[in-house]
Amino acid sequence: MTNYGIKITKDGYGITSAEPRNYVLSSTYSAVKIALAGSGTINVSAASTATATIAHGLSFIPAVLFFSELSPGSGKYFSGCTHLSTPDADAGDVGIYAGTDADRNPVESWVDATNLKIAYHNFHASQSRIVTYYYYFFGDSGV
Amino acid sequence: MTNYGIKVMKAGYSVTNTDIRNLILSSKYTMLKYHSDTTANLTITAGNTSGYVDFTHNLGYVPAFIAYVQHSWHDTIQRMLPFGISAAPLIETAFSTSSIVRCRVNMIERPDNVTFTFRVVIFKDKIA
Repeated sequence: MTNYGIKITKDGYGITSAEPRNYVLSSTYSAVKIALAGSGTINVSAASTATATIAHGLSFIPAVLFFSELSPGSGKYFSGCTHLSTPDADAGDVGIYAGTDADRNPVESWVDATNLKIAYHNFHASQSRIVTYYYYFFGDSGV
Repeated sequence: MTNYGIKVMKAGYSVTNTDIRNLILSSKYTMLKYHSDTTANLTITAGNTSGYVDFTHNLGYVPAFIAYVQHSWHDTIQRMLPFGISAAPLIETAFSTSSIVRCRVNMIERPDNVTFTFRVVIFKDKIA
């Protein structure tokens, strides 16, 4: 017997469907499991960089997904490492472009077998800001 | 009893195996749950340099999402957001709020119209 397991299909599709997109859940296909999720804040001083270090406790380099509220209290959560163009109202309008970073890339990140690190760069000359972030670590290898 | 629930392992692995990567699914771990999967176009006309398109979700909280973009000057290449080309420059970003996911474009002025096709997968999972 090879065609067995747990199958839940979307409305209108039979469990004989061979199309993975038609399944709500299937034990045939490995799911993207959330090993760890959470949030935090970090204070980024004016004209400086602050790095959030988030330990994941896994024994491998996991796939990750994260979001950042760059403008404190805005309720606007950017995905990933966000390139910004000019002083950006959605990201705080605090002069992100006022710095010297030619790539205008105020968020950088990397993950290893221990931590996810997100480096936030504040290009404003005199105003600090508190960045809120939310992260997912998945139970699958990222590399 | 703490070790209970549904576990389905990859072939060759026992349910006592503790490596999460060997699990096909487990009731111990949550998964991102689909809310919507929507596509919309944004056309930036000649001489303009920015624009955005909103995807309404009606969830009432800030959800997780994944966004992709396809450019009219490429055939079938779909890129994950955020995406940027420093040399062009072309900067594409996305953020979510309690009512929308917004995909944005900032670019160098072009002499022709260009269309960005955004696909946004919004999850029911709350991030704020």
